[in-house]
Amino acid sequence: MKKCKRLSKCQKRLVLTQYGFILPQLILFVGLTIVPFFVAIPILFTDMSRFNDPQINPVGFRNFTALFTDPSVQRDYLPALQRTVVFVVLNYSTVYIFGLSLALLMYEVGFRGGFFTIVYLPLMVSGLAVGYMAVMLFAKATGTANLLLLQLGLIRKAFDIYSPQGTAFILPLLVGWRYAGYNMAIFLSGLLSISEETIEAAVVDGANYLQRLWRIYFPQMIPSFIIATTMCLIGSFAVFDELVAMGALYVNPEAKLLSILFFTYGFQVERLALGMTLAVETFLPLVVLGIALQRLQRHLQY
Amino acid sequence: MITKKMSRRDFLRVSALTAAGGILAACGKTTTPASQATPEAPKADAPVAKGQVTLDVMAPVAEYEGAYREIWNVFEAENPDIKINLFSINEDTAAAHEAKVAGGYLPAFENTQEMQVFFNKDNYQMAVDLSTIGFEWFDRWTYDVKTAWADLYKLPGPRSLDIFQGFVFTWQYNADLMEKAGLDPRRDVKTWDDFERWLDEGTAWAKAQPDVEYFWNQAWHNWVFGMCLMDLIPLAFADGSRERQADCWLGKAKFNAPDSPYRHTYEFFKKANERGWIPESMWTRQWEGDMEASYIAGKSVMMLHGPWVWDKAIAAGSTFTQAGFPATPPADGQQWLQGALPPTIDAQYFIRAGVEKLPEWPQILRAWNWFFSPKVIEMRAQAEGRVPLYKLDTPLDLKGPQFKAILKDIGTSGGAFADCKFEEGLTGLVKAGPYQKKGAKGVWDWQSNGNNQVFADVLSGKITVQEALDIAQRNWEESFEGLPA
Repeated sequence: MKKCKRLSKCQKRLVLTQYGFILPQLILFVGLTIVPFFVAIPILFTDMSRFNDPQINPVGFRNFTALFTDPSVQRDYLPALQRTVVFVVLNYSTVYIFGLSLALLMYEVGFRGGFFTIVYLPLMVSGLAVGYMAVMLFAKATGTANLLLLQLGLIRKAFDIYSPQGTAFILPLLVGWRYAGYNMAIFLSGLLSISEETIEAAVVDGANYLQRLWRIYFPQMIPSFIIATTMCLIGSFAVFDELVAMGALYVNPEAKLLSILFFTYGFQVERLALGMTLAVETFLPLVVLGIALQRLQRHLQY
Repeated sequence: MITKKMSRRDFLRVSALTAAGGILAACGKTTTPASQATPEAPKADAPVAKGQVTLDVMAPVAEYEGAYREIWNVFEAENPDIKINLFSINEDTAAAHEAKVAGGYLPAFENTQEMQVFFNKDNYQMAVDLSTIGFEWFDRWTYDVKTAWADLYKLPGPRSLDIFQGFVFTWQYNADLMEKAGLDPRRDVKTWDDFERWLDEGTAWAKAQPDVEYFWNQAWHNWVFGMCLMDLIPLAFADGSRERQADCWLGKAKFNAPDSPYRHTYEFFKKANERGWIPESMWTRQWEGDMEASYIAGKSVMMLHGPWVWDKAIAAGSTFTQAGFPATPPADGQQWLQGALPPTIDAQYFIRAGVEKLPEWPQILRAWNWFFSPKVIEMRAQAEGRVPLYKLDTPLDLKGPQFKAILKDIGTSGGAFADCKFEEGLTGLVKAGPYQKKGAKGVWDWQSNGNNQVFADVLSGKITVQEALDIAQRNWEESFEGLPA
C-alpha cells in the first residue's frame, strides 16, 4: 500500500523557507540563462544577422550543417577550436600545478585564514584587468616579466604575447593563477574529507609521502578531481575577458578562441544566428562530457 | 526531528516550472521596430509630445562629441522646447548599444560609423526612408544624394545621409623632427622613387636618434586597412586605378590576376616590413595606444592617417608643427592621385525605423532638418575639419589642420600640390554592394579582423602575396552572387 507523504505544517514551513532562500538566485538563473536559451532556439533556424535585423528568413537546418559544408565557417571555426583545445589542456595542467599544490601546502603545513585569502584574491580581479596586466608584464620592450626573465638568463628573447607560442603559454598561466584559489578550495575540501585513519595506517605501514599521495590521498579525492575537471572545462570554453584584453578582437589573432569567434559572428560580421548555432553545437558535446564525468565520479567514488 | 529537505528532483521540478512560465511570458506578442515592414511617412493624427522633450542624438565619433555638444547648444537656444542628450559610442561599446536598441531603446537619430553598419538590400528596412519625411535640403548636395543609393540598390531610399567628402588618408608628420632629420618631403617627394628614398633616409635617421622611436609609426586597424589602405596604395601605379579596382569587385577581373591592382598594397607593406620602414610585427600594434600616442608625444616622426590625429595632437597639447603631403606619389609618370573614400551613400546619420511613430516625431524632424541646414553644415565642417559636399551660401574658410596643410592645395592652381588631384569615384566595394550575400565576410573580411591574419602571414613570410590575393579572390567568390552582372 502506498504511504501517504503528507507534510506537517512545520515541515511545510521549512520547505517554503528553503525555497525562499534559493528564490532570488533561482529567478536570476532561470530568467537570465534558462529562459533566454529556449527563447533563442527559433533563431537558430533563421538567417538573423544582427539583433535588429529587419529581414529574418527561415533557413531550416542550414546553420547546423554550415560547420560541415561551408568552407568559410570551417576556416574560422577549426583554428579557433584547435586553439581552444590547446588552451584547455594547458589550463587543466595549471589546475593541478597551482590548485593541488597549494591545497597540499595548506593541508600539510597548516596555513590558514590569511594565506587562503591571499591565494583567493586574484579571483576578485576582473578578467579584463588580468589580461591587461599580462599585456603590460609581457610587453616586449618594457614588460617587467620579460625584463626579469631576461636579466635572470632564463630566456634569451623577450616573450611576444601576440605570437602563437606567447599567447599559448601565457594565457593558461594567467588563467591558472587567477583561478588558483578556486581550485585550491576544491582540492582542499577533498583533502579534508580524507579519513585520517587511512593516512595513519599508511604511515604505520611505512608508505612515504608520494606513496601516500598516490594510494591514499588521490583515490579518496576522486570527486574533487572530477569537479575540478568539470569546472576547468566550463571555464576554459567560457574564457573571454582575458582574451579581449590580450587583443583578440583586433591585434592578436592567436587569442581568437571559440568564445571570441561566437562574439565576432554575433556582433561584428552579421552572422548572429550562425554564431549562436555554432555555440550550441560546441555546447552539446560538452554537456555529454559533463554527464559522463559525473557518472565516472559515482563509479570511481572510493 | 524534521528531516524533509529539498531533493535534487524537487529543485529541477521547480526550475522547469519557473522556466516554462518564463518562456510563456517571453513568447507573448511584442512589437519591436526592427520586425516591422518598411516604415511609412508619419501619420497626421499620431499623438504629439507636448512640453519640453528630450531627444537622444548620437555624435559621429567620440572624438567630436565635445564639438557637437557646442553645435547642439545652438539648437537648444533656438528651440527651448527641445533638449538634446548627446551621446557617443565607440567600437568597444557598439555591441552594447545595439543590444540596448534591440531591447526597445530608440534614439532620435544615430550614426553608423562605430556600429560598422552599411545599408544594403538585407538591412535597409532598419532605417527610415529619408525621401518620405519632408527633408528640406536634398538639393544642397553637390551630387544627387536623394537618388544615389536608391538607384544603386533599386530600393526606396536614401536610408542615411552624410555631408562630407570621404575620409582622406595622407602622410602626416612632425615637421620639427622632419627638419632635424634634414628632410623636406613636400619639396622633394614627387614620385614613388622619391618616396621610397625618403623612407630609407628617414628610417636611418630615426634609428640613430635615442629619443625617436620610429620614423614611420604604423599600427593595425582592421577598418583602416580593409576600407582605406587596400584601395589607396594602388593609386600610385598606372595599373592601380579605381576603375581597375572596381573591375575586380564586379567580376570583370580577378583579385589574384598577375596584374591585380591590389598586388601593390601587399607588396608595398611587405617591402616596408623588410626594409624596416614600419615597426616590427606592425599587425600586433595598437592603433591608438602604440601609434597615435607615440606620435602625439613627439616620439615618432610620421604616420599614414586621416583627419583625426591632427586635432587630437593639438587637443593633447602637442607643441610641434604638423605638416603632411598626399599619400601616393606616382610610380609610372601618371597623374598624382590622392584617394578619398567616395561620398558615403550607404552609411552615417540615419533615423531608425520606429522613431517616426514616437510622439516626439515632429520635434525629431525639426532637429533633423536643422542638423542638415546650411548654417549647421558650416559648423559641422569646422568641427571635423572636413570638406562638405554641400552648397553653402557663403564660401567656407575651413580651418581643419589636415585641410589647411594638405587638402586645400590638392588640384589648386598655385598650391603646393597643384599637380595632384582627388580620386573620389565610387569604390568597387560600393558598386558591388547590391550583389553581396547576407552575412558574407566580404573580400578583405575586415569586420571580423580576418585581414589581420592575412597581413600577419604575408609580412611574416608564412604566405606569399599571390596567396594573399588568392584568399581575396576566394572570399569574393563566396561573398558575392550575380556577378559579373
